[in-house]
Amino acid sequence: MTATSRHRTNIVTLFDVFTEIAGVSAASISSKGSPSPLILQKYPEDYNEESILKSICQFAFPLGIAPDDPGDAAVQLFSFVLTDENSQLTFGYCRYTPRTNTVICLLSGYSWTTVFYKLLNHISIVMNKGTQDDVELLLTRIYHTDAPSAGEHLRLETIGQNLDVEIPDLTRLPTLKDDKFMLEFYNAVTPRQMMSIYASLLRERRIIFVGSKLGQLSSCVYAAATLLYPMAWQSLFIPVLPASLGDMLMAPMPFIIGAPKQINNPTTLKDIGDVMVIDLDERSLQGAHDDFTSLPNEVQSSLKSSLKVGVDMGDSLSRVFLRANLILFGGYRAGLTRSEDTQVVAWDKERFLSEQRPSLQSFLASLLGAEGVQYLERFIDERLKALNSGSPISDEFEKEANKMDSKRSQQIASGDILEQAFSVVRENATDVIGVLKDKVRSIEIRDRIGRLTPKDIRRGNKEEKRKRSKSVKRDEAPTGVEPLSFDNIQWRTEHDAHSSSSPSVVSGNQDSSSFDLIDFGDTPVNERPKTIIGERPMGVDDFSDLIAAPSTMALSEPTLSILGQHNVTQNNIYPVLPVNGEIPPAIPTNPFLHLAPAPSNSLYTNPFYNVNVAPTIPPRNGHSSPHQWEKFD
Amino acid sequence: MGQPGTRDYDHLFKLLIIGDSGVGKSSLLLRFADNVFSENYITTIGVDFKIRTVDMDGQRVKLQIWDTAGQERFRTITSTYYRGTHGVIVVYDVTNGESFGNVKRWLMEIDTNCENVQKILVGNKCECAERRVVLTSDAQRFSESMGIQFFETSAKNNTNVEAMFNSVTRLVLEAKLRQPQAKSAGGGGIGLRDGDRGEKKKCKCG
Repeated sequence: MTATSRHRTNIVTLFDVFTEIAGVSAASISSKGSPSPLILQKYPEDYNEESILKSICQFAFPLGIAPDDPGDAAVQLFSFVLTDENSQLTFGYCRYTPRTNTVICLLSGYSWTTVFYKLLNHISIVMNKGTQDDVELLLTRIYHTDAPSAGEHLRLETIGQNLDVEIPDLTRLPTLKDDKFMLEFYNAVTPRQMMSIYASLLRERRIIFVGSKLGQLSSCVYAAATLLYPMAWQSLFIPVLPASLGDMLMAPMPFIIGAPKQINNPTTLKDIGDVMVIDLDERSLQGAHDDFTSLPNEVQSSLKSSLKVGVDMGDSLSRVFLRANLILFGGYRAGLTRSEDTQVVAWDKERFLSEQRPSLQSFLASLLGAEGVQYLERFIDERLKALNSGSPISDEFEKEANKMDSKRSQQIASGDILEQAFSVVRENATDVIGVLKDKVRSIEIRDRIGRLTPKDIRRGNKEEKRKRSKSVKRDEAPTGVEPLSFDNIQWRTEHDAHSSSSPSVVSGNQDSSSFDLIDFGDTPVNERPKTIIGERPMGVDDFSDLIAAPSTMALSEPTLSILGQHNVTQNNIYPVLPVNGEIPPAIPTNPFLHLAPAPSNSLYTNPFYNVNVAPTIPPRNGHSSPHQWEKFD
Repeated sequence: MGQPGTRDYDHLFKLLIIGDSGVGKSSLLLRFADNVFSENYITTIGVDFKIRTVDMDGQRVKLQIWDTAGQERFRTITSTYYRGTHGVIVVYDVTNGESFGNVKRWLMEIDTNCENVQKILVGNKCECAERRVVLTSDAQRFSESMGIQFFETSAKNNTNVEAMFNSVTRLVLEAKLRQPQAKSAGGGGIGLRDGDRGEKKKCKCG
C-alpha cells in the first residue's frame, strides 16, 4: 500500500506490540460462554492497551476459531487493519500456524508488508529453535530500532539465522515481484474483474471481497485500494472483517471490506443493498452497477489494451492503473489558481472542468458534483497544502503528468485545441505550473541518464544491484552527516558486520528458506502467466509515452531515491518526534530547489523560493541519515 | 440484528450522524439507542452504528444510525458518503465555533449535490450556557436559509434528544411515503435485492 494521509504520524517504534495468541478449536466451543482467543505472550510485556489487545485477538482469529480447513496445513500470512478515531490506520501482520493453532502478530503503524511478514517468519524460526531468551532478545532488538528509510536494509542474525530485508519505498508503485498484496491480487482476480473493481473504486461503491483464505482476502483488499494511486481510499477500509462484526456490511457509506466466506450469510446480504461482491473462491464478480462502461472511452481502451498485452513482474500492473488515473486526473493542475493578494494557491473546479477534453468532462463533473468522491477531494486538498507550504510533490503520478504536459506543449504549434487551452491555463496559473514544470524537466533529464532498457533491467540480477549499491554507499560515506538521534546501535553493528563479510553471506539465504512456508494461495509464483509488457504497447494517442520502460524508475540513480525519501517524509509516515528531544534543524526539504532555475523577481513571493537554495541535498531529518544505512535502489 | 425469516419492522431507515469529533455524537446516540451496551467499534474499524425501533403513526420504524471516524479531516464530505442513506443528522457543538463552520460547509454540499437526503441540524451541549459561542439565533437563521429543521440538544441532560430523533424519523418516513415506490426503485439504476426496501433515498445521480 502506498503512503497516504491515512498513515499514522505518531509512530515511535518499529512495531507497537508483538503478541502470540492461542486460538480456540471449534470442538471446544460446545456450550455457551465460548472461550475467546488467549494471549500467550506479548512484547513489550507492560503493553496494556486493553482495547487494542482485545482487537488483536478478535482480528487475528476473525472467525473466533481456527479456520475450518483441516486439509490445509500451510502457514498463513495475512494482515488486518485497525482504524483509530482520526481514521488513521494501524496494521496488524499475522502468521497463523495450523499445527499449533496459534497466531503471532506484529502491530505497527508502518505498511511494510514484506518486511513484517519476513520478520514474523524469522521470529517464528527463533521461537521454534531458540530459547525464550533468544525470542525476547530478538524482539527487544527489533523494538528498539529506529525506523530505517526506504531502500535501507534491516539485517538480523539470531541463533545463526540471517534475516535481510529491504525497506520498501512507498512512493514507488508496487511491483508483482516485491509486493505480496499485488501478486496475490494478480493471481486471484482476472483482468476483466480488475477493470470493474477499478471503475467501482472510482465511483466509491461498496465493495466486498469474499474468500476463505485470509491471506488472499486481505491482500486483495489492500491491492485493490492501491489502484487509485496517487489518490487514497478515504472511506471504510477493513481488509479482514471479524465474523462478529458481520453487521457492519450493512454500512451505507462507501467501503472496501474483506469478508471471510464463513460470515457472508444470505440473511446479512439481504440487508446490504447495492454492493459489488468479488468472490475469490469462485472467481466471480457481481455488482449492481456497470461502472466500467460508464468510464470515458479512452480510459476503457487504455485499460483494455494494456491489460491485454500483459504485465511483467515489475510495476507494470500498477502502471496500467496509474495511466488510467493520469488520463482522468493528470490535468488537475489546470484548475490551479493563485490569489493576487495572498499568493495562496487554490483550485477552481469549474476552471479545471472547462480545460479538460470534452470526452472526459461529464465523467469528471459527476465525480466533482452529484456523485462527488472523497478521494479526489482529499487529493486536491493535499496537493494544495503541499503547494502552499512549498513542499515537494514528486511521485510517479506527478512525473508522468509532467511528461504528458511537456508532450502537449510540444504539440502546441500544431494548433491543437487542447494545447491552446493548456497554454491559457499556464498563463493564468502563472508560476505555479511554471515552477512545477521546470522541476520536472530536471527530473526527466535525470531519469533519462539513469534509464536502462527493460531488457537490461531483466538481465540485471541481484548481485549486480548489490554491487552497485555498495559502491553508492562508499561514495556517499565521506559526505555523511552525523545523525541527530540514534538508537539503532544493534542494526548498525549488524550492518557493519555484514559489510565486512563477503557478499555471499549477505545474500540472505535464510530468507528464501523461510519464505517457503508462505501460502501464496492457489497459484504458485512460478505458474503465473509470464507475459512481458512491450515497450510501448498501447495506442491511446497522447498517452502512449507514459508507459515506456515500466520498470526504469526502480533502477534509476541514487539521487532519485533520495528524492523519494523526501517525499516519504512529506507524507509523514516516519516518526515526527525527535527521539532524543532534539529538534531537527529547519532544513529545506524541497529537493528540487537546487534544480529549479534562478527565480525571477516576480517569483520571490512564491512559496517554493522562500527557503535557501541548498547546494546539496540535506539529510532528511535527525532520525536517520541516508548514510547510516546501506542503500539499495 | 438480522432476524432470519421474520421482520419486526415495517420500515428500515439508515441514518448518518456527522460532525466533528468531540461534538457529542456518541453521547446523543447513547441517549437514543436501544443497544446502548453494545461495544463501540468507531476506534477499531472506523465505523459503528446504533439501533432503535420506534412506533410512528402505527408503523414500526427501525433506525440504524451510523457514525464514522475522522470526518473533520474533510473540507467537504462528498455525496458518495450519503448515497446509501435516508437521512443525515448534522451535529455541532454550541461551544465550538469551528464545529459549526464545518457543518455549514458540509450542509451546503449535501444541499447542492444530495438534495433528496433528509437532514436536520443539531447544536449539542446547550447546557454549557457560559461557554456558548454559537448563538441560537445564528444557527436558526442558517437552518432557515437551508430550509431544514434545527434543534439544540443536551445529550448530558437529555434535553430535546428524543424530540430531535423523532423529528428526523418523521422526515424520512414522510419522504418515503411521498415517494412512489416504482419511481425510487428505478432511480439511478440501483439494484435492489428486496422490494420492501426499494424505497431507499439516495443522492440524485448526475
